[in-house]
Amino acid sequence: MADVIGTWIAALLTIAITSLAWKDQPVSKFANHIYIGVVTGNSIVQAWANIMNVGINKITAGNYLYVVAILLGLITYARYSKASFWLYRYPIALVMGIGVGAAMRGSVGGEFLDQIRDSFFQLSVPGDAFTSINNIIFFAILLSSLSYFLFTIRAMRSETAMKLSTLGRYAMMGAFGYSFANTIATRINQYAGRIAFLLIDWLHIAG
Amino acid sequence: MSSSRRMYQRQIPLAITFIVGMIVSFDWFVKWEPLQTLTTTLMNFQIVMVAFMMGFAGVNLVYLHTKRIQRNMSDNKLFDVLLSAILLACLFIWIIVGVGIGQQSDLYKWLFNTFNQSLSATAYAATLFYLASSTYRVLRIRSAETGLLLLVGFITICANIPLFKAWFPILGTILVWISDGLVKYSYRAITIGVGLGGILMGVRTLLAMETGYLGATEE
Amino acid sequence: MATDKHFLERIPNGIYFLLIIGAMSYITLYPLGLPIPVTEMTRATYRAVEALGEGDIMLVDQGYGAGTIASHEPGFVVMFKHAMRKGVKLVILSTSVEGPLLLDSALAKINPEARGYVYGTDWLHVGYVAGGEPAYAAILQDFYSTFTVDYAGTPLSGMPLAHELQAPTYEKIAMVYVQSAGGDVCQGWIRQSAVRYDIPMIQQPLEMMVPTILPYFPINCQGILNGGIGAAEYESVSGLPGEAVKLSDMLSMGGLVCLIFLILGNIGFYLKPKGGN
Repeated sequence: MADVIGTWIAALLTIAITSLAWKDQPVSKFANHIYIGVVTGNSIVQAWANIMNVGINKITAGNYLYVVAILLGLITYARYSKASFWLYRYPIALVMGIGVGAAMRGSVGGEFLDQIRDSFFQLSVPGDAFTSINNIIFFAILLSSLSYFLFTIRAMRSETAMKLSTLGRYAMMGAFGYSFANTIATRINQYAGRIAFLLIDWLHIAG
Repeated sequence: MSSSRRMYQRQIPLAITFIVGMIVSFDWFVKWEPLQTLTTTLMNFQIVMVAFMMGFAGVNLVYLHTKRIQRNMSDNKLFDVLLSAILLACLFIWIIVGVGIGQQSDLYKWLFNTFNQSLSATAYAATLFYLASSTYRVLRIRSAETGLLLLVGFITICANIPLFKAWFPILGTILVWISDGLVKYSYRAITIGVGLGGILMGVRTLLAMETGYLGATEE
Repeated sequence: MATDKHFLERIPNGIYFLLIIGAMSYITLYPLGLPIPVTEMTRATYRAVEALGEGDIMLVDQGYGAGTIASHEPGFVVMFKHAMRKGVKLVILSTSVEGPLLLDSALAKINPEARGYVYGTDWLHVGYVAGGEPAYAAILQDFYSTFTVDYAGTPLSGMPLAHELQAPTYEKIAMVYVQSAGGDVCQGWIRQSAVRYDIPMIQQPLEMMVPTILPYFPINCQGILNGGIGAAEYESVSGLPGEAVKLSDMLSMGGLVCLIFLILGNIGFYLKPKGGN
């Protein structure tokens, strides 16, 4: 019985949110407000579970160092007080330092060195003209796209360099076309899931 | 601001960012067990602190919608009062059930499957209509660049449709050329640029040249 | 002004939306069942998983929410089934707040216990982890120091699979499989696992995030599944049919309607009378 009620509520909420595409009206506003409330509620529940798992359980197991982590977490709420706002800067400084350190150390390898290393491929492949031509085109695409982002080098304002960056711009527009097509595919796939729910799970007219 | 206040309200946090950032960065290069243990502990602290920060959304919602209820009550906008009240009610019910009874409980799972799943899925999926509308009304071949964008997009949509791929197998070869060549190398240039920018921003943050994350100052 | 537009540019939104919904509904009722051509990227993903041996551990970031369940759940289900076929052990965590609660729906389709997979020994679920990239680094450095209990609250000390992940955890992980709607999560895992420890990695981002991850293929990321399309291809290449194949038919019809209206809009744009306002 609870499953049937749940399916009906889910189906009606699905239709209510979809009606937003037609017009913003009371039904869609109602569904939207429920949506914001339940999503925020769930994220707080998950955050609490994380605090228990990674923080409080360790304290009860005898690792009292994590009392500092809990205190720092509580101090972040000082941001809501004008007089004590400065206390909030301590945990946020830690979070920023750790986050920046962790991200930066991997960026050098992953987004810079490995990418450059993989770009040194063989331009001319003996006996395979098609692959050779492709490799030359791809290398030209890479160089021209990179040159498009060189805004502060005076030499890049010459006519030849401008032609190179124009080629890069065209290449990137082509890439964005692929991205646009994939975005449509993503959204269609997600809505297909909702249609499948309505027809199969709710109305039972498809299998 | 006096120098001692400036010290503990600004300069010590900036110093903490630098020291902790350097410790975490050095861990990549130096294989030394005490350093690795310290780094792992710092990262676990990060998990706990970020989990606490997720509560900001709830606090902001309660503050905002309480104010809205007060304002709308005085303006007699009862429907808006009802909407804010429902939002807050859902928030508190989810927290009470999820934290109090437990997210493993049948009740919480039912609430999640009925409300969260349908609302999240549909809210995300319904953007299809906005995208479809903009595709129809805005995307026009006005120049060579937009023409190229639409041509590649058109070919990719066709190639992603099994129906067309079955009729025109060449679409698969063209799609491979587009994805493994055009897209990969264009986005590689963007990735290198973004990576460089990210590293520079990271260095600026650690060296206290970017201090926006500390929030507004009293100066 | 609307009256300056050709009538092909003035078809009401309502008709367009109804056509999309109608086409996708029609194909749900009367599926075409077309064969799904498999791309090289999906084959590379399949080969990467096939290269794993019995007893190897795969770390899975089930980082999808209800918003992307239609694409990611079939991918999770088929990957879990493939891993079970190979005897690979799975450690599941989630970087999405909705991920842990969506696992039940996926497990109902996988039924690991019926296939002899024992929880705690062959697979493990630790739930949501906040913190972003430092969290991934901490997990790969020392899984056991980050998590104390599994998602159900059972202490990890009683689970053989958790004991296999004692520090240094990165030496015990044979592969990382990341599912996420966000490119930052995918890139974060690449930086912390593939770049740092050379751990083989496969990913299933959404279709629209694939271009962001393509530059990492195959240097850091040995395989990429192109969202829901990739999941359908993976079901086809692995011989483990699931729900993604059904969705690919719907993608065909929805994409066809969008294509038709894209062409109509551009034809209308070029046919409209020039000059005037």
